[in-house]
Amino acid sequence: MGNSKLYKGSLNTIILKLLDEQGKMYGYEITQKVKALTKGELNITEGALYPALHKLEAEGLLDVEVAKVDNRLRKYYKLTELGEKETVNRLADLEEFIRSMQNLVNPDWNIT
Amino acid sequence: MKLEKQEIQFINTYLQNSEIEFTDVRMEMVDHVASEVENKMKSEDLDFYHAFKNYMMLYKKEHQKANIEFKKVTDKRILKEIISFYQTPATILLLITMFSFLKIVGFNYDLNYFLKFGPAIILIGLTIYYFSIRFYLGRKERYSGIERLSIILNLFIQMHQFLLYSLTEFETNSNLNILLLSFDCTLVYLIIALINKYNLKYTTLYKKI
Repeated sequence: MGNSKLYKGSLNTIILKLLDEQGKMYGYEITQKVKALTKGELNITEGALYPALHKLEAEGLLDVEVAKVDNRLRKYYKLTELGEKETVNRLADLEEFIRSMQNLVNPDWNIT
Repeated sequence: MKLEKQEIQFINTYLQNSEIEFTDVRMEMVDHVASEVENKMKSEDLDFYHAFKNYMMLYKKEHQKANIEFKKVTDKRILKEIISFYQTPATILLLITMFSFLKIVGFNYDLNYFLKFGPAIILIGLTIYYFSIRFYLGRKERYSGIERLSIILNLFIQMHQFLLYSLTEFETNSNLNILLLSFDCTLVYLIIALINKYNLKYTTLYKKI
């Protein structure tokens, strides 16, 4: 989609926000959830999603657990305590960014 | 519509042959591909073979890209752990203690052979330990954390060889030799700790299921 580039910089925050809401999720589930929430506007590819998840895991923001589902292993991601704190910070940063962008693009609009 | 065991095995083998060599990375990709294939089979009314082929034609490169990125993340994580290990007061103290101990012993005893062959013996011991852990995890299974550590281990071996062979005259009590051996002692502790950590992680996550 044409807007995908605009979403890219916020991918980590999107993942953290989803995990904060859902508790634990696996990779494919994240892609489908994002697709549904953005009405197909944002399609996260495997090449972008998994490196982002592994990076967040390496930073200690995500914890993993593996379960056997339908003849295969499935890796679930969930927020660590540090991840929960970081989610709040990153969402605040993103909100601030959106407000700044809005002021730049269209100062007459207002988000609540 | 759920895939059969042999269809999952087919996906696993295909990804393994597509240079996605590490079990811990591939396992996650197998699940992703299988979920997509199941979805396609249901929504587009396709059989397994066609659903799989259609998907891989479009997304094979994406999986390979994710695999390359994963290696970079793993390397960074290991390097970060090594750097933070050598910044701890306990490691610095251990290094100073070993250096001082060898220096004092060197005043009274001839440490010639010990200093000359010590680093090589330590590194060979570490290499044997590394391969025994790999064997324990399964000869066919390759895990990213354990395997990428071998690159760092190899780097140290090369560095030691270079230093040992580049010395024109081997001095028994030279500070460089003593420092090298002291460093090896801390390296033993670090590598064993890291191998055990990754071994525990992989056995906990993947082997007990």
